[in-house]
Amino acid sequence: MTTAEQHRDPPSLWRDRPAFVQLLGLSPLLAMADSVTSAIAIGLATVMVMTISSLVASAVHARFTAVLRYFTLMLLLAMLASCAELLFQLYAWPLHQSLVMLAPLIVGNCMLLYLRKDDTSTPPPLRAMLEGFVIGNRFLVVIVLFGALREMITLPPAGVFLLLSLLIALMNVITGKPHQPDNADEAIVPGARRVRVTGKV
Amino acid sequence: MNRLCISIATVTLVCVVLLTLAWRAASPGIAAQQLNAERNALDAVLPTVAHDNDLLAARFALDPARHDFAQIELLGLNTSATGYRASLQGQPSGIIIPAMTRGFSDDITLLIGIDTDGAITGVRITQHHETRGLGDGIDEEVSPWILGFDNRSLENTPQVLWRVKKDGGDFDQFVGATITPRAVVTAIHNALLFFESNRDTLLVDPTGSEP
Repeated sequence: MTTAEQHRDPPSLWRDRPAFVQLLGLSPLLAMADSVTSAIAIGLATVMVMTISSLVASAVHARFTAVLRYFTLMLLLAMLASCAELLFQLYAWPLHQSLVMLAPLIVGNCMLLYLRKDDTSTPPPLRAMLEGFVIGNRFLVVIVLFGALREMITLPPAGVFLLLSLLIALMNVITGKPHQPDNADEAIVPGARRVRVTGKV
Repeated sequence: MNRLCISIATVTLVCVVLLTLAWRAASPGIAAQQLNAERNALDAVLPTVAHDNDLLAARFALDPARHDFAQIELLGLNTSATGYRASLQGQPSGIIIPAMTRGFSDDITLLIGIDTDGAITGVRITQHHETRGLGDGIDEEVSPWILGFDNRSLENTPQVLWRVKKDGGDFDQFVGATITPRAVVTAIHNALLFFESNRDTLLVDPTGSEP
């Protein structure tokens, strides 16, 4: 392994398709949010995990290499999600019983939320913590809305995906443009040279 | 690379220690919650039966693979499950038996409380995956349907009436869902039949020891 390879961020393959990966990654969590109560529980766990992990990740950012940062982040998320689960067991036992696989799904979800962030630099710890809190809350709003809709309308599993796509469509209407992949707005400069990559070169 | 290994080991160790501490701190509380939930479930199916023993300590195994009880297949269990004996001043006063049946989407597990006369004191669904809005009416949190079994016995409800109304029986089905209530009615009836054929073994602790 060369030094250059060593320092490349491991999930870069994924990062190029965040919308797709995030949508897929969200599915199990959304499937679990079948009522406002469970949606709030999932959302609150996400807020807690995002807030604390952002703080710690920012604090160690400068001292850790990229590989170690990813490793630490994953472990940190797993630990925090387990703690969130312990809290649910302590204070909301019946609710916890109805949420299967809570911790692994929270970890996956937070990992996806992190994929949207720029890894090369980070704000100072307190600012990062606030950012994590905001990101978590954004997710909380969406999932509670989703849970409320699901509680009102009884849906078969296929209907849940349909509802999700309708929500995304609605969001696109409101924001006025469909979601673009990160590199899609790269302008094509007239006269720029293109390299032919197919056929006989 | 060595440095990286050491760093990874350190980070892992720190996380493991922190999580262990959190778990240690939480586990007594969680165990209490668990017992509490179990006790609540038991109280819900034996509300009218006076008992002075700790039900959680008076548990016994109902194992479909063994032959401790006659016709244990009536309970529909696929693995060993737990029953509970209630007693008052050392005299048996009731019993809680678990049962299992196949619902519309998955297995349904029940807890059935029966007094010494063979009348139902309460039934609760402890686990189900029935369709929300259709079959989930068996859940006491969703509809009071399950309370309709209280006080029923083989004596006051003849065999032909242990069916849903659609099949000529005594119990309501739900709009758009017949399979679920049908399965539950049959499971409860079977549990009463099981109780009848094992009455003495069930009510009296064979070991004779007070826990």
